[in-house]
Amino acid sequence: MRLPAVTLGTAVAVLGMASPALGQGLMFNARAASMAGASLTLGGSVQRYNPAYRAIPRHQIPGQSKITIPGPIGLIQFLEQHPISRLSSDPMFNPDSAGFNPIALVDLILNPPIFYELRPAPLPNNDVAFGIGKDSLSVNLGATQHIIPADEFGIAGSSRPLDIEPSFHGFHAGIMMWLHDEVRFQLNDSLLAFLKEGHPAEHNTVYGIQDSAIAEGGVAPSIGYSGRIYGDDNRGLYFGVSAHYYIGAVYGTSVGFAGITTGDTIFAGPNPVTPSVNDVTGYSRWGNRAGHGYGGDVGFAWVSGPLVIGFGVSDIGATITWPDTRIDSQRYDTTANRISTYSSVIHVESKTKLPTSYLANLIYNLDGTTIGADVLDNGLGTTLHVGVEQRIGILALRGGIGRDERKLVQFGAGVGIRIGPMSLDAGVGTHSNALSDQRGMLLATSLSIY
Amino acid sequence: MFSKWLGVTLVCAGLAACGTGHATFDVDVYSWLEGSTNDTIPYGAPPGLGTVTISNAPQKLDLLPGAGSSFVDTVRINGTMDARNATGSGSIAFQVYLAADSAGTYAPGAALFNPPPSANVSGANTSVITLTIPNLSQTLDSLFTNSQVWIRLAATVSNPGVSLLQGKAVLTSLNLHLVVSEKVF
Repeated sequence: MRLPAVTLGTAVAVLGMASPALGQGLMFNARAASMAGASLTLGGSVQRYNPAYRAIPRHQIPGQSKITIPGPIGLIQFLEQHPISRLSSDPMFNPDSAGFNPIALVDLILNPPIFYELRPAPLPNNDVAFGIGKDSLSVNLGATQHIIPADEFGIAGSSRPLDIEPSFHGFHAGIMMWLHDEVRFQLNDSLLAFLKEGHPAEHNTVYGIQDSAIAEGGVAPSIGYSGRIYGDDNRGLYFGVSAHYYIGAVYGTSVGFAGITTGDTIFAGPNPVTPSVNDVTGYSRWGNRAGHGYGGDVGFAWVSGPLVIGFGVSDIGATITWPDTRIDSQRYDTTANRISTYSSVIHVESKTKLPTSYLANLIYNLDGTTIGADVLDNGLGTTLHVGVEQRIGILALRGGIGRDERKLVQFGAGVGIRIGPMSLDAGVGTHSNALSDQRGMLLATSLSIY
Repeated sequence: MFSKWLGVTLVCAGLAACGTGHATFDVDVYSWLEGSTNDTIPYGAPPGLGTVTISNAPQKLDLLPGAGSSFVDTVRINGTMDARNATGSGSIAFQVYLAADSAGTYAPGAALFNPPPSANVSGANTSVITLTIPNLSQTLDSLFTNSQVWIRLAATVSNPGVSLLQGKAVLTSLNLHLVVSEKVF
């Protein structure tokens, strides 16, 4: 029974690494952590959603660092608790250990120990109670019930981990790597009532999970233009546009349902329940004919003295055509007692669509005070951040509030000291990068070079 | 019998409920025996034979897959048995045997009660025998780390009288409270 939990946990965790969609995502910058994830710069993470920001001069927004190095004090904390010399017997990494908790392992990967955990998100334990009879079954998961999601749950992300596009007189061309993944689950009503509300199992009832998953990735040669189309440095309208030719390297998808159906008696006969699995998978492997499609980004930004307002849309119309897909239909064979493929078609065409992202943000900078706010809808969820930074001499005081993709409000506060071209920043922020309804709190530190 | 059901259930529960803690299982064992011949032990002891032991066939109970690497903290047993005497007078003692396999239930060490709960019976009436074990011995506890356990019921009747002692012992409830610590999944 341990294996499925570990396997799923690891899968979730691995996907989570590629998809910072849980909570407010990962932050490696104490300045951002101090403001609950708000950005007061027009750097790479913002440019990805609004190509107009490529054209705005760096001096327009103060405090835009060239490089930021996180202070890995969380790693020290982690190594104190989990010495490398004892990793082989450490309960956290050893499924055979009595203290092994796969949720702790998933939480670790969702929230890598870069920053110091002042208050980790609480871990549920397995204080559970089962009631079992020939015609009855109930389970009370206790505190663990809280982490069973009532709504659709999963992880998702659309990212560009590599983007090399040198500019010349506003024109830029290059290549980027793109990734898109979504894994969604939904417990059906009866299973939800059974696990989350402790309802007893009922006769002739289907208990199951609906799932859908997609993962795809590739590269995209890109070309575009970013420049000021109106006004001057102090007051102007900036415009950016990029066109991409997406080349898909690999693609896989799965949509299905897995569950069981009870009989007239909960535990009757050698096979008291009937398994039910129906799943359709499709994939195009490396070496198959590559996927292809077109898409684009567009953005505007208005600069008026200390104010920058922008709106960008990315991956517009990004539909990928996969000309060489294999599609398998599978179901549970009750005779053979295994999942079997009953239909396969090869060399068929499939289409996928990258989620379109929308970013609206503003940055206002005046007399040592910078205020920033952004709303990002990446097609998979909406986040909102508001942050403020007040500079007093070499000191910078920061605070912020945000709403993450789980619709949880997050807070942050911090301080920075700038000496010459360097600043040392520290911030305390809440996060929900864990399988828990309750927030954790971390202390982040980083060194920035300007 | 119900391992598959539990297997599926525990996959779901296990996703959420892994880690340190306790898992409690309240198993209504009687619900599997109720209505079958295995919940009743007819007895008949002619006078002059001393004690007579009558037993049912062992019955298999499927337990939880995956509990094999767990630590069983507590196994508490509660139940009741009716000694429904028809004729004669004497005493009846009731015993429950648990073992990892069918044959093992016939070993003396498989007996749960020492001494076995008993009742004196006389004429046509019913006596209720209470079966209570606050916590099984460690040896028997370990049975519950297996995926199945066998149970056998037996009644020992003693007839010191001069007429036939006859009736039936009927199990009316048998509950098992199992507490497993640490790793369940």
